[in-house]
Amino acid sequence: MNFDLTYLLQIAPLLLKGAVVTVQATVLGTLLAAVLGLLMAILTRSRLRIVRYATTAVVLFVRNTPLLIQLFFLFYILPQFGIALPTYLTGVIALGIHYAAYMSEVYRAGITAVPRGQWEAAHALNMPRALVWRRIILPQALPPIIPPLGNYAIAMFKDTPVLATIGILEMLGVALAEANRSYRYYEPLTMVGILFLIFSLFSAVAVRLLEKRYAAR
Amino acid sequence: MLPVDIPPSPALRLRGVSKAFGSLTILDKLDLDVAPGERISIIGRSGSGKTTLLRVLMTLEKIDAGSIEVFGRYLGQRPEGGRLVPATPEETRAVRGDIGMVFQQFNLFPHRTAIENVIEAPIHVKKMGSKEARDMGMALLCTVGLADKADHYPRQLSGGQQQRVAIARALAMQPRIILFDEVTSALDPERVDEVLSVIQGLAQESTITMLIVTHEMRFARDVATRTIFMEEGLIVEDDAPAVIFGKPNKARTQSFLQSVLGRGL
Repeated sequence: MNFDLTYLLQIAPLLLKGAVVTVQATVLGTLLAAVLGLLMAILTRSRLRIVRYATTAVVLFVRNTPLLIQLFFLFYILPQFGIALPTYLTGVIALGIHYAAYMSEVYRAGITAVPRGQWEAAHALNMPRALVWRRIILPQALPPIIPPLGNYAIAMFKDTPVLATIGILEMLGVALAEANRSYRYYEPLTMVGILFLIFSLFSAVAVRLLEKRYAAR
Repeated sequence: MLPVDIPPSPALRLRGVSKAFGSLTILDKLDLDVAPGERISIIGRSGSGKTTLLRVLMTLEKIDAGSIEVFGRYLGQRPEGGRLVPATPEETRAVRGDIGMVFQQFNLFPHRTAIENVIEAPIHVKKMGSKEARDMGMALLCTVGLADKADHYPRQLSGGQQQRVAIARALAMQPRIILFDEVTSALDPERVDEVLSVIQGLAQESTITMLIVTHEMRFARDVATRTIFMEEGLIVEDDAPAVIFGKPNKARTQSFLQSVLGRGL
């Protein structure tokens, strides 16, 4: 079977549309994961034991079950409990929660790296805990962990094809739909692979630049 | 005439304060009264409980038993019907506001300049206006001789300079009691005097109550109005510096001073 360049060009606009959905889902998923992950990291340091344990359990659970199953759970089972979310939103939430669990570990490392004396100095200045987090701890904890967080964003990007399984027309979904229509798999799937490679390489370069920028601190 | 039956509330009143780490007793049913304006130097070997005493007062450590009053208000927990009732975080914060602390390791905020370190808490905790806070902060940096370093980051300052910024930072919250925890122990020897003279100056120009844990014996004698010698979580001797350093009454104080001073101050 020959690789048909004309056919490829013909389906390229379609695939690029899918690429937009992929990138969108990654960006939204990353934002959600970044916020949720930080929240999880902070809650695992709560003064209340029950909050600490519950959060740790959630993180452990999410990290040790496959993304695909989490996605199916949200998509097929949650509606049975009366929570029916739009498909696209379900996909973003699944990505967000899954990667939040991983990112929370990165946050935790960054937070732990802030010396104890910083907490104590803030305490001695009578700063309330929320203020200590916001103005003293996080500004020191975050810059060094921006590169590893970026790496998780790239990992999430490469995981977006799971969204095709619930019918979201991201890159792979579009390619599969097209392949099923034309019975040609070679060109669409190759193209998807190449697009993933290009995006990932660009993102990796971006993360490298971030690393350089924050390494000096 | 003032009614004589109402004594002014002491700056600090500790009763039966105990603290243990596991099976190791650090503070052993400590009683201590500190009048406003007193400057107390606390001396003793490492592990005698000096630093823990300060950390307990700063509520960096919880006490296991006993009570602490700061200007007549219970700190952290209060005795009630034979039990200790924990205070709410808000109550604790209200009482703790009277106390400031300077640490051995300075603990300046590395992502903030000297002046920003000083005015951070006044602005965000006391809600002081930023102009007002800046003026006050500059005045304090002036006091510690670092007005020209206001916009330097901690990493651009020497240890002695960082510690002086830390003193200004503690003073910016206008505490009525200030705790100095071995503030020169992490400094190069040639940087010690600049920090001690700042504290000396503060002692002369203000009536702020001071508790000073130090290994600098000459300083402990000269700056204080009263000296406490601690050992094994107990206050062994508590007297005027002239007595403690001149003619201590307890054998344990004598032997400690002999071991650290050798031939003299």
